[in-house]
Amino acid sequence: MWAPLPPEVMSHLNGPAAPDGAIGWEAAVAKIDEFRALADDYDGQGARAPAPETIDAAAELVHGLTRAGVPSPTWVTPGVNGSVDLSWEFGGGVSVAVDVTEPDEADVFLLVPGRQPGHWVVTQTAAV
Amino acid sequence: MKDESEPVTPDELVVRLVWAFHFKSGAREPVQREAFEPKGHETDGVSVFRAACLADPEQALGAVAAEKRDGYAVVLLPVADLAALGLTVQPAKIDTVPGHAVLPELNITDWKADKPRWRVVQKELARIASARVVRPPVGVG
Repeated sequence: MWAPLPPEVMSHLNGPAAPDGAIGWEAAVAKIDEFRALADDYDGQGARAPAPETIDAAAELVHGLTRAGVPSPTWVTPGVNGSVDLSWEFGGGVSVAVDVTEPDEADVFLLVPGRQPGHWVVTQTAAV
Repeated sequence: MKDESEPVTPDELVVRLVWAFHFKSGAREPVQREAFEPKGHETDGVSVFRAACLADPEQALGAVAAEKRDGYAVVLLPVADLAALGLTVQPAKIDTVPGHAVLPELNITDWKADKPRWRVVQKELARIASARVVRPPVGVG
């Protein structure tokens, strides 16, 4: 189970402003599932495909976010180093990103213009 | 056209190849920040091509296997804008395409060591590149 995202991040995700171009949770889940078909070097320039366990972890994170009422992201993409990246773009240059980098770890970023970028590492613990 | 041996000048443009997964056609800013994420082997920095050394920007696609070329967008970034972000363009000759260079500051080691800093830089690079799309991906092979 994933630890909750930091309160500052959740306040933006659940705030009054909707993310730009949200793709819908059904589409986001479908996209993550598509990543299972990727192999290393999928781009012909050495990109690393996400491992099945990382994809499972991203799917679990998405499940938690939908339960928390978070709107769907603007982007869902594979990173080039094996991550599954979700990002929400808001007006005024504000963005939230959750990059699931390992089956039990994700980098969370909050970018607000004029402020130092926020960065947290959230973890997933195995169910007991 | 410039020879690769000529120094990089601030008025130049560089070409970046952007994989289809990191390009959202129809979006206000179609290039995503992942287009500027160093890969595990990119210890010397991410790859670009000096447009001045190419007959046209799409010539850069010659560095990629033929079956993958349609999956790439071709975008441009001004060297002056890179400099404003603290990035230099270092020529790094390869056999297949002239004008290959790297952005040595944007390497995998430094990126991993300070992800928040580089996140801001990557997003700005994506914004700059989004305004200079030579061609979108044709299709993902």
